[in-house]
Amino acid sequence: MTPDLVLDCSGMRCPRPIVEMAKAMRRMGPGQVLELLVTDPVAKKDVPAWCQKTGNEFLDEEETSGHFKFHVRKQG
Amino acid sequence: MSGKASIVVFSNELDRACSAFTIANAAAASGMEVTMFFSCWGVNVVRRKEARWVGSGLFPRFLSFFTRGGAGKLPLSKFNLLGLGGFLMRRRMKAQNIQSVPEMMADARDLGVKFLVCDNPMAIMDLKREDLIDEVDDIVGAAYYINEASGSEITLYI
Repeated sequence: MTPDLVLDCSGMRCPRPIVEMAKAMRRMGPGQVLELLVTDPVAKKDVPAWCQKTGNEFLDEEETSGHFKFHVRKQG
Repeated sequence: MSGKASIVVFSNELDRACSAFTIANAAAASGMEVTMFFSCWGVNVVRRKEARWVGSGLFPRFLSFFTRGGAGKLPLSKFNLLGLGGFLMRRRMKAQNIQSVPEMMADARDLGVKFLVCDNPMAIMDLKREDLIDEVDDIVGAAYYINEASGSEITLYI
């Protein structure tokens, strides 16, 4: 998957990755895909919950040795 | 916007302010319209850091001296140890990459969180609008909060 925007929030802790994701989404158009890179493990729970609350589409997640990668599609 | 959240910030302690701003920012980042009401000791969170010895009369001056420093110098609700606990906590938070209260306040404003201040503590502490940070939107009373909270899905008192 080729994201439209990559946001690296590695090292940041709650609630900052969610705040940065919300800010990044403002710069994106409907249907565009954001790739979020995080190391805070609560993101596994928080990112899908944020998508559910905001109506953005949670596409997938990938974990490699403590590094998480999420793909989220901005709602159209 | 999906819903509203109203948060009363009654306290001026670092731990409680962190909790209030963490929730406020998560709510705002989730598309909610967030209003924070700073009442009683919470007013100290939105006071200018350089505001010292404000007011007239012994008691307001006493209060302003012992609550000085603004959002970057809040005490801890437990183990403050005359400020040492607060200092160590801020250092620990920084080492763990956890945002400080001033950093979270800046994010809150960026996300459109409204800062309202209760009028009564302003009178008690003899504070004027210029003693508060520029980010404060308005000074209001209890009925304003009730109207906001009545239309909110989330209301908190911290």
